[in-house]
Amino acid sequence: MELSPLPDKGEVDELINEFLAESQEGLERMDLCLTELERRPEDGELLAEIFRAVHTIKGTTGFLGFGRLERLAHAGEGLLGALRDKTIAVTRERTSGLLQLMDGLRSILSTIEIRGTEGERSTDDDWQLIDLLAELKSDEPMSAESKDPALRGPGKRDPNAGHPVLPPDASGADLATGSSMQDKTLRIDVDVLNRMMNQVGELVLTRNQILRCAPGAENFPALARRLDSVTAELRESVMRARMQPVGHLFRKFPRMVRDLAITCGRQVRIEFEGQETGLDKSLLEAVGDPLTHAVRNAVDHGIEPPGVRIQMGKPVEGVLRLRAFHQGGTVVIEVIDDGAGISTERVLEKAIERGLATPEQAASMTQREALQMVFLAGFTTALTVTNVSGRGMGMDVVRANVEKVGGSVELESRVGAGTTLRMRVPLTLAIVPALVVQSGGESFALPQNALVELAYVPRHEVEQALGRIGTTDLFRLRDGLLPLVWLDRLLRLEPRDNAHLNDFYIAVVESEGRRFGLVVDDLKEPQEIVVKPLSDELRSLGVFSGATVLGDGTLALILDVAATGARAGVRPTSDTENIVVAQLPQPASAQAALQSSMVVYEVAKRGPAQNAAAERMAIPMSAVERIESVPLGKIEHVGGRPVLQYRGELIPLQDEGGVLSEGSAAEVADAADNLAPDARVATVLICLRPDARGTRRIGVVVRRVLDVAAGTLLAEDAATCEEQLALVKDRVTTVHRGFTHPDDALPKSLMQEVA
Amino acid sequence: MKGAEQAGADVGEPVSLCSLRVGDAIFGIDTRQVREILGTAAPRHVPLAPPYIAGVVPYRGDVLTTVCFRALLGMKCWAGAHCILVFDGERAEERFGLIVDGVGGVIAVEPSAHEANPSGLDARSMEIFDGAYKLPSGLMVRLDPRKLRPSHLGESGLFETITQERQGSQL
Repeated sequence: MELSPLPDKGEVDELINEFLAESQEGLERMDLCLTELERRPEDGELLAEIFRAVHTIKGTTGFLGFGRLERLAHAGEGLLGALRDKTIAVTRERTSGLLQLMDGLRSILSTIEIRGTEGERSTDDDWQLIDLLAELKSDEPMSAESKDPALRGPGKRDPNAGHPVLPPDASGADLATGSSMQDKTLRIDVDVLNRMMNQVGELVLTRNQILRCAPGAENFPALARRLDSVTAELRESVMRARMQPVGHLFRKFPRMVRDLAITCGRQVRIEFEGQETGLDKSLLEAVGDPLTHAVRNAVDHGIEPPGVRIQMGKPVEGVLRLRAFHQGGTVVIEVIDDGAGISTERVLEKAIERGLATPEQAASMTQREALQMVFLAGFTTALTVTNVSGRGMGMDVVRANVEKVGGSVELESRVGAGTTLRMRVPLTLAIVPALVVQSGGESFALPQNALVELAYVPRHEVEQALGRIGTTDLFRLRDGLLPLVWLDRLLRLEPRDNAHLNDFYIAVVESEGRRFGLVVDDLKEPQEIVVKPLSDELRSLGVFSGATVLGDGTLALILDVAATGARAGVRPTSDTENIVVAQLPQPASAQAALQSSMVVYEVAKRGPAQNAAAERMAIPMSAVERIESVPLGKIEHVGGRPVLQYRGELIPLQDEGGVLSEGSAAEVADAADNLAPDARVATVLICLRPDARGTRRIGVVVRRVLDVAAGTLLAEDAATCEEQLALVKDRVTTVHRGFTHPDDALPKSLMQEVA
Repeated sequence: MKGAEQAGADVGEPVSLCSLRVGDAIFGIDTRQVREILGTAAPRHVPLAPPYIAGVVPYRGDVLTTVCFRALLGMKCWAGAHCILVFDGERAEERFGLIVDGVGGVIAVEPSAHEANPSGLDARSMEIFDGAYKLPSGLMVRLDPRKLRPSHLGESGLFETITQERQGSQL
């Protein structure tokens, strides 16, 4: 630090830094204890702890020559001493005074941190504060207030009692900036350090052995394995040393919530769970801001004012719970309030108003999907929804921050019962699982957390699987269309020869609401990669988030999935759907009715010839309740017609494709003879069929289920007027009778355009 | 960093220059500014990067961005053996490598022999050269790493469209 003018500044700086880090910790503890003290004023242990913290600061400041700090700490110590000795009682204004003392101490500490001296500009404030503390110490005798507060005379500070004595935003700012010194230091258990040293020793030994190893030596594989295990152990220890309890992050909240609650006129109790859950230090810092935001939102918008709560029959005091726990390689942090909750109707209304969703989309959204709309950018910019339905302020920023470190956020809410905001972050950042892909002859690493699934498109299916609307390539993935991004084209790599004649892979990825298929030439192995930052110039290209050294020693660039999608013009999901729908030749509503999800299955070969092709048939997905495997022995016959006892109900089976008869003939022949009849099974789709008297459950026997895909119903053809046909994956498929309404069919004129 | 710009004004103290070769041309660079010289390291091509960025190479546990000096001179990049000079910036992120064909010996020159860029120089040369030393054997153009820093080259805007083919050295 070039700030200190002292000649032996190195040594003094070190002392000061140590003092700052220690004092910050002390102040944070005080913070916790003081807010706790308001609830348990009788707890002597808490007072003793606060007293110790202030006392330590006072002792060290005297030694370092910070007179201003010492005077202030001394005054505080006087008051705390009296409180501890029970000569005076803990009251709200005394706690407020002590909190003010803490802010005073903290601001001097941060001045010292920035300028190297404690500064003199605001000595007046100090005296005011010191006077206040002295006054609080002597003000009222114990008997008058602790026995019966009602009898207490109207002390001159009483009007203040219900309000924070300090401006709440000032305290927030202090909290945010106050601990920068502490961020640079870390406390590590000496045992952990010793273990690390041992492992380093072992690493050196192994290295020596390898260095002395003759080329092609016999013991080389053994040494390599040893090196591998030592490295893994060392990595594990370093990771563990970087782990910090989430509780560190929670410490500042009791105070923040207290001040915020008073400002907003709420009564809030804060509870913690799983404070000991460990999280990498860098991640802990990264989730700090989003978490603060979430807590602020919960108090400000989540928990109702006391009056409303009483009307609702809830306890006057709202409860805010912060909960942290490990779950499958991630850390989950939840902010749970028992407030008003978020009304999905209002959210959707707002989303439609802001053009973030169409009314049709809104109608088809699940509650969960609707709540996620809150995270969309643009949802919350202006006055919007905050005052009415709950959350809002900058939730997109919260999501962006959490996703930046590879995490995710979701909301759960029940109107009247409360809201839960759940953040999921990886345990560590430095090493991430990734899939190495190849495109244009170069390797790229794709972080696994953005990867949804992988699809392989063989050469002969390229034509069928791909579609194109305008300039956008689309891939038919089950019943949806997925925008495609060709990595080699996007990065202007040299394309493979005859790229169109080759098969390729599609990595379906999703990040920051953008979901798209990344087309790559080849997939290589999944790896745990060590992320190395790129220089500013290369990062500003906005496509790569870093680089990594692969197992073979070459470098691979790590793709920033969200930025890649943005660069390729992929919009966040809700927008994308808009575009696709809008560009189809019919209005969206008509399209939605015509396009329905179908279960495609195969029935037995029809006709006598052995070479007759197995026929494809389909049933609308909405009609299918379950798909069951039924042993053939369970199928009984009544009057020559097959029936099945299903969950206490007798349901008729339809075997139009003749699967059962085929089964009894063919399967007996080729399925080994020694199989009991029970071992052979038929696949039965349990369906609900509209009927004159409502709906009836029937079973449709199929040979096997092929797929679930989007299908378009076709008008009945004159030639095959008996059969309802649909276009599923570009193939004409017979639709099982009785499940569709003729009105659903697409008039012929339109069909041309769709096809 | 350490006063290369004042080097011209200094009297007395001879400056030691590291000579480097690109094609047939020889350039000089103050040895105090060079952090390290690496051998051939086949940089990993970075798609979409400006043409003067040769790519990235692993360097001491980090990733080093390299600038192809040939590209800056409007020449084709060199696929064969090369050297990478590593320069430090004021901040760690500013560290970068300069790819040249080869590095020669170190020579000592009088600061007084330095002459600033002549006014007739074209804009690109103005941007990357830092004057020249008048040596008995001829002129030796001096380079200043600060002028060759990727961020600086990007700001100048003169090198975004160098016409040269992408080829072997980057794979």
